[in-house]
Amino acid sequence: MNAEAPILTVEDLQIDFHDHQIPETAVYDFDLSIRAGEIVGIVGESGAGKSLSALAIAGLLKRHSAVKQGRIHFEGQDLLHCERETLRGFQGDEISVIFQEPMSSLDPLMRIGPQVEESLTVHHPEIGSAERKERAMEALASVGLSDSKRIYESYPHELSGGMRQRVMIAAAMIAKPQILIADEPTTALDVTVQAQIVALLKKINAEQGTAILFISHDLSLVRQLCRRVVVMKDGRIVEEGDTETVFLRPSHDYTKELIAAIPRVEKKGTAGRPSLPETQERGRRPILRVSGLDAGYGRGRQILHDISFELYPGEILGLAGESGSGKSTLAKAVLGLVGVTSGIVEKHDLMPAMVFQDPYGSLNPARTIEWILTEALTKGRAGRFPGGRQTLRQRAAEALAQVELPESFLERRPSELSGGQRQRVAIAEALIGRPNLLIADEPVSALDVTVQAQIIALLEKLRRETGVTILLIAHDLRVIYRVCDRVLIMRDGRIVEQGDVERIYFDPQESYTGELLAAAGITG
Amino acid sequence: MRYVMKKLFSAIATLFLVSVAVFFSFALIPGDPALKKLGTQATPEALMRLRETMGLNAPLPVRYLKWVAGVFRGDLGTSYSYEIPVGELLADKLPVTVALVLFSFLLLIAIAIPLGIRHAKHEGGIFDRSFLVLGQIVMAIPPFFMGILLTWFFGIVLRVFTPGGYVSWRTSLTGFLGYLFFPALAIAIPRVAMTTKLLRAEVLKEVRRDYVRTAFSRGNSSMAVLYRHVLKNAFLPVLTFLAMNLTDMVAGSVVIEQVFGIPGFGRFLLISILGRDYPVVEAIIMGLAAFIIVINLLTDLLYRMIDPRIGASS
Repeated sequence: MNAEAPILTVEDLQIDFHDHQIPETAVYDFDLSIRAGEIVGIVGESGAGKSLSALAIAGLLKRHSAVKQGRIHFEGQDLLHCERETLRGFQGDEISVIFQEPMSSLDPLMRIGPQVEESLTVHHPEIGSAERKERAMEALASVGLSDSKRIYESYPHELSGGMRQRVMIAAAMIAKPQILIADEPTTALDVTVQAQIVALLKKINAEQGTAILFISHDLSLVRQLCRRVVVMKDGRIVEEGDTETVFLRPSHDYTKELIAAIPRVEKKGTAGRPSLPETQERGRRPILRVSGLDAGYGRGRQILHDISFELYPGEILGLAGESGSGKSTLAKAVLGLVGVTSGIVEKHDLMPAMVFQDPYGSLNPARTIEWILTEALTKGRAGRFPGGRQTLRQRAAEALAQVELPESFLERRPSELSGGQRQRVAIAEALIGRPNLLIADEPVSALDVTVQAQIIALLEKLRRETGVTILLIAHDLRVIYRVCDRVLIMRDGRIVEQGDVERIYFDPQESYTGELLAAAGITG
Repeated sequence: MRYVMKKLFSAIATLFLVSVAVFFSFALIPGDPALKKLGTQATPEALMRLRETMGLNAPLPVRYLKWVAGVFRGDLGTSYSYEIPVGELLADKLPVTVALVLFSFLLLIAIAIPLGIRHAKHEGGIFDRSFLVLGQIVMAIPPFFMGILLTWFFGIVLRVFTPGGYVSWRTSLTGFLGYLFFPALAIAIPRVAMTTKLLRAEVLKEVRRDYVRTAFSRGNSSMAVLYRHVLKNAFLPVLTFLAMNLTDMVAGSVVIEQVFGIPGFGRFLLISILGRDYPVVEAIIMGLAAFIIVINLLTDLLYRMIDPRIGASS
C-alpha cells in the first residue's frame, strides 16, 4: 500500500442541528485526510466545531439531533451512510477515541480491567478471558502504568487524573486501531501530566504507527505533537498546513490572532515590564506578611507547611504549581478561611475580594447582574443600604465600567452572557466593595485563548488604574509570566522558590521549577 | 467491617429510642386498660386489684424495664383482651402480612423495572407519552380505593376471585396466594407508576453521561451499552426508592387487609389499639420498627456493594 495514500478522507462534511426550530449549521465544508501513521492537529476555540467534526468521524454524533452531509471514507466504506453494524465494526477496533474528562468518560461502577478489555470483548469474542486479561495488563503496562495488576482491579475513582487518562489510552489502543482520535485529552490535566500524556501519544505513534487526530485549543501542545494542523473558526476550516509553517507564517487573520494571543515567554529584561517590587517597592510596607505559616483542615489534614512571603501594594503576585500543591488553600489562609496551626499572618488594612475559576458556577443564574453585583454590598437587603437603590445601581454601573461592560448589562442574567463576559461580571462583583487585594483563583483557565488574553489585559489595566494588588493563582506558567511581577512556585504545600518572574523563569534555582517550566514547553 | 459495625450500632440505638417512645406514649395517652376490660360498672376495688395484677401500678420506668427484659427473653407479654401470650397471637397473623407485602414487592419489581427500561428506550413515543399520563392518574389513586376498584371489577364483574373468601395458607397454599394476588396488586400499582417514572428518568439521565459515549466509541450496540453500563448506574437511586417503598408497603397493608378482609397483623393492630391492648400494640410496632431498620441496614450495605465510591474517602 502506498504510504502516502490517506487511510481516512472526509469530504464536504456539514453538520446541522435541529434542536431549535431553525436548523443551525455547526460545521461547514469540512475536508480532512489522514495518512497512515500521521499526527494531525485540529485547533480552534470553543464552538469552532473541532470536537463535532471529530465525533462525526468517530460515528458518535447522536443521530436524531444532528444531520450530517458529506462523505467519510474509511476502508472502502462511507462512515456517514453505511449500516450501523458496519460502523460499529470499526468503532473501538479500527477507530478509537479518548476524551477530555477521563473521570466521567469511565464507568464509575466498573473495574478498570473490564473497561480496558471492552473493545476486545465486543469485537473479538474468540479471544478467551485469560488472554484478554493478559492483553489488558500489557496495554496498561505500555501506557506507563507499572502497577498494572492493582490498576486492573481498581475503580476509576481510586486513580489520579493522569492515571485515568492513561487507562483511557490503554483501552483505546488494546485492539490496535489504525486511527486514534484524541479530543482535548490533556485539557483537564496538570502541566507536567499533560507533557507526559503528549509524550505517550508520540511514543504510541512512533512504535505502533497509529495515526492520531489530536483536537486541542492549546496551540503550543499542537505545535509539540503534530506535523500537520487544521485551524477552525465558526465551523469552518480557515487554514491548514504544515504546523511550523502555520505557526511561523500564518496566512489567515484569525490564525495570526490566535497565535498572538498565546502569552509569550521571551526574556524582556527590566525594560519590557513595569518592575515594581524588588527595586523601588522594597522600601514600602507590605499589605500582607506571612511568616512560617502552617495551616490546613482540622486534625491531621495539614496542607500548608512553613509558608513565608510578602505582598506589596500594587504588585501582581503569581501563585503557580500543580493541582493539589496548596495554591487555593494558601488563598483561603490569606482570607482566614482555614485553620492556622502556627505562624503569623500580618495584615495591614487588607480588604480582599475573590474571583473564581468557573464564572458559570459562581454567578446565581436566577438573578440579574445588578442583583448579583450589589448583593455583596447589601447582603440581600437593598432597602437598608445608605443612599438607597439609586446609589447601589450607580456603584454597580461603575463596577461594570471598570470591567469594560456597558450599563445595559445590569438588566441581563448570567445565561445571556458569554464566558468572557461572565468572568468580567465576576471581577466586577469582586471590585464593587472597593478592595485593595484581588485574589484571582485560576480566573482564565476555563476560557478560550483569545478571551484569556482579554481578561489578562483587563487585570493589568485594573492594576494600573486603581492600584489594586492582585494575587493570581494559575497553573498556566505562560499566563503568570505575562502578567505577574513576582511568582511563588508551590509544591506539596510548600513554597519551592519565589522571586522576580524574570529571574525564576530564566534562572530557576530549584530543579522542580525547571521541570515545571520544561513541561510547559517554556524552556528546554 | 468498621462501616458495618457503625451501621449496626446506629440501628440498635434507633431501636432503643423507638422502644422508649412506644412504651411511654402508650402509657401516657388516655384510656385505662383495666377499665376497658371490666367495663364502666366495675367497682373501684376490682379495678385496683386488676391494675395490680396487670402490673399497671408500678412506676413507669420499672414497667418499661420489665417489658424490655421480657422482650429479650422472647416474652412479649400477655394480651389484655385475649389473655394469651402475644407471641402466640401474632404467630398466626405475621406470615399472612409478610406474604402479602413480599408478594406485592415482587409484583412491583417485576412490573416496574421492565416498564421503566422500555419507557426510556422509546422516549417521546406514543407508548412513553400515554403511559406517563396513565401513570400520573394511577399515582393519584390511594391503595384502598384501588383495592375497592379491583374487588369490584375482578371480584364482582369478572368473578375471578371471591371477595371476602380468604383462604388460609394452612388450607391451600395456591388458594392463599391466589387470594392475595389482587390485594398485592392494589398495594403495588401506584408504586409501580412511581418506580417506572423514576427509573425512566434515571436511565435518560445516565444515557447523557460521558461514559456512555465512551461505551459507544468501543463499538457496543445500544443494547450492550444499556445492559452493560447504563442500568447499573441508573439503578442506584431506584434501589433507595424501592427500599423506602418496602417499608411503606407494610403500612399500606394495614388498610388493604381491611378492604379485602385478610387476617394479617395490620387488621389486628387496629383492633388492638381500639381495645387498649397495649402489649399487642407495642409488640407490633416494635416489630415494624425492627423490620424498617433491618431493611434500611440491608439497603445501605447493598448500596455499598454496588457503588465502590461510597465510603471511599473515609
